Amino acid sequence: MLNRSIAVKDRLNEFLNPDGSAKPTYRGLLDSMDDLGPAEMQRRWQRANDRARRDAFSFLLDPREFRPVPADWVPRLIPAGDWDVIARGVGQRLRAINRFLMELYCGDQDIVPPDVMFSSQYYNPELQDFHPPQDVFVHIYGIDLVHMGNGRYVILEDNLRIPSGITYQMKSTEIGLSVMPEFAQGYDIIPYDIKAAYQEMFVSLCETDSPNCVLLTDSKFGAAFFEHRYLSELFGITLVEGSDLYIGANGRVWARAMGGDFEVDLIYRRVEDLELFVPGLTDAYLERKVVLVNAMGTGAADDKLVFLWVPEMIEKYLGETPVLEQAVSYDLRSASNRQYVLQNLESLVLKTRQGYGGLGVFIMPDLGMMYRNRLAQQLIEQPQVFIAQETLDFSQHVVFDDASGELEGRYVDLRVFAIQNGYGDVTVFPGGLTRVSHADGRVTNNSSGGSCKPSWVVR
Amino acid sequence: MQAELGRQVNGHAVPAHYAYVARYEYSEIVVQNDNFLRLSAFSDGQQTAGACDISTNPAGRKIAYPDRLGNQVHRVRITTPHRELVIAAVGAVHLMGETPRVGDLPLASLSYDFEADEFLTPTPLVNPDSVKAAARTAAGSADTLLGTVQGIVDWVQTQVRYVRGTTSVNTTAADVLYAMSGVCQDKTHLALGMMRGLGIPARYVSGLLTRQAGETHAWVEFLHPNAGWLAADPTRGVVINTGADYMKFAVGRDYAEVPPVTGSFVSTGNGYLDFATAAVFFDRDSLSVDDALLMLPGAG
Repeated sequence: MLNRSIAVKDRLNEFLNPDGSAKPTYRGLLDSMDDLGPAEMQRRWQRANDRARRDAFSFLLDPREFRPVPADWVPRLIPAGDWDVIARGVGQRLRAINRFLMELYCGDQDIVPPDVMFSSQYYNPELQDFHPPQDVFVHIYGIDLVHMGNGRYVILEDNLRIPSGITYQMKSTEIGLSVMPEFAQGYDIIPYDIKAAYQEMFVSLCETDSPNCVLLTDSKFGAAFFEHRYLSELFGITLVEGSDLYIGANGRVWARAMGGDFEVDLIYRRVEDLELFVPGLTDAYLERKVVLVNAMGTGAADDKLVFLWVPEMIEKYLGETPVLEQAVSYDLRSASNRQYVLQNLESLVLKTRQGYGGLGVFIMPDLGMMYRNRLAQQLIEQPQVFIAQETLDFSQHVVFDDASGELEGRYVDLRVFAIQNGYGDVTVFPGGLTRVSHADGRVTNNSSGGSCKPSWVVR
Repeated sequence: MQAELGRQVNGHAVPAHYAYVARYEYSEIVVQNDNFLRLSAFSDGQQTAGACDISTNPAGRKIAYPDRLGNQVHRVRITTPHRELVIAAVGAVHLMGETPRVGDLPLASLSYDFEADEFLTPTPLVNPDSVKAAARTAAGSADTLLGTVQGIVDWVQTQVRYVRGTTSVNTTAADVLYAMSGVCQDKTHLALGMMRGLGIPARYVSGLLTRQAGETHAWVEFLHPNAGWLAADPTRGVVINTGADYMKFAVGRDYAEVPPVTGSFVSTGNGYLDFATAAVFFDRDSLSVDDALLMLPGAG
């Protein structure tokens, strides 16, 4: 039997009860783990980690150093009933944000104050009145949730620029299942097909049935290059850098290739500053010579301040009540909010509006006095740079420490990916990516050095 | 106690037109240039903005919106490759020209709504604590709002030398106090920091001197609990009595919130401001951006 005493403590744990027994959903899994025992688990962990290294399953924080994504192979199990609510909530939010972007660029949105939208570096004035193909801005959406227990999930933020991580969702599940097939015994895992859904989405946006698609990467030294290479191979599309693309004499986008340059119908772009990577791309896009996924201008809704108005978008544009709650957040443009936040700073989370990947997220209760004082000073000097959020005491899960052979507790969040195609269909991929914090904190992002674990939706 | 500052000017709003033009040069091709312009007249009790027209060469997509403090912002994003950018702005404005009669108040009795807090607290360029001791010296024995403001303005005007080229957009109020020299922007940061240090909410104003334009000017506005925001110019030593001599573009907590032109460009090279000038006309019925372009060297 595995030692689980240090995993329990006084925290809400999705897997274990305070007495060390498993929660109902996890009974079968804990039995499988106990049957394997610490020594065999250590051997399996070694095999799974070797496999991850061989597959170059990586997220590079430092391009000079290869480091596989640290993974914990104990899966997270999400009951199908809980997942139904998550999937409905994510789909609803995606539709509302897409509609908001349509109103922002082609209509007359009056939900978010104009100075917030128009001062955003990701708002493109040249896109005014331009309808993206099939009126879809948000093709690929990543949303971060935390579990408060009893199936209650709360949204922390939306990722609309170039959300990354779906590969880690697929890869961690694939490696985990192949090295530890025992873990799946007795569970009916809901399957999904990311490849088919993406390919259908690409075709739905183009005028031809067999479009030439490319994946535009920032560089092969970028943090998410493993994902860029993996996805381009999975979807059967060409992986290109900015210098591989140019605007041809016919105004279309061309890709350089050994066997002869070819015209590009669709760019699955994993860079934000498109014009910087491919001069002239804005004009080609506005002349409808090429499709961009996500659409140009989508990043305007990624501002963490815009998050505050999404429930209003759902109510106004869809006429629905939000399915999922979101973390209580404060707009620091308001003097009364500034006053409240300064008075309660030690219990709040500060986030920079343009931050991503856990960078610029400050969980005040977890920080030292010096650091807190410095942030308070910055907040007074430049309140507009931040939003504040209530700190949530969300769930923990277990990780297997392969050095000690024991189970430990760690905070986990859930990044869920969804896509929207040109036929108006929204697909939310079951399970998502569970990200695991360091031993001593609550920040879970890969950019911040967190690890990941497989997540299954089980019936 | 009733102190009356300034002369009462009889008459009505004075109509005026202003023109601004700037040229930026770049060492390499710029493929994207995204600029936020605060070159539209501010509207409040002291002036009323009329129509404003903005033009750039090369042209870009424009959008206008009011910012959080009520400044009208024009954003122009240019994606035509260029090595030179010209920005021209013209506008109409009515200047009230009348000096408000304002009662003085004991400094100790001042009380403000919490909305004023952001004009009392530190900003990246102005830390009131760092200039508070100097503020006490400057205010001397004054124990009223207007007396204190006058003391600070006089002190900064006379003690801080007006010297060009020694400071930059990143120079802080504390830097100015240390060097005891700078331009209008620096004197404004120092004076507004000193006022904040003594509990008087103060903000930065960017605008033009209507009788001697040529370049943009900066001054302070302090908050009077009953009369609202009032002008104080530590470069010229003028308090409240700005008449029709001052035309306001924008207000902010410090310079960083209100530059006439700010933005970012994408290029492998560097950019610099090659030329900028402004003019105000009291004798014109209208003004077009072509008139502004005529102010460029070598034009016309």
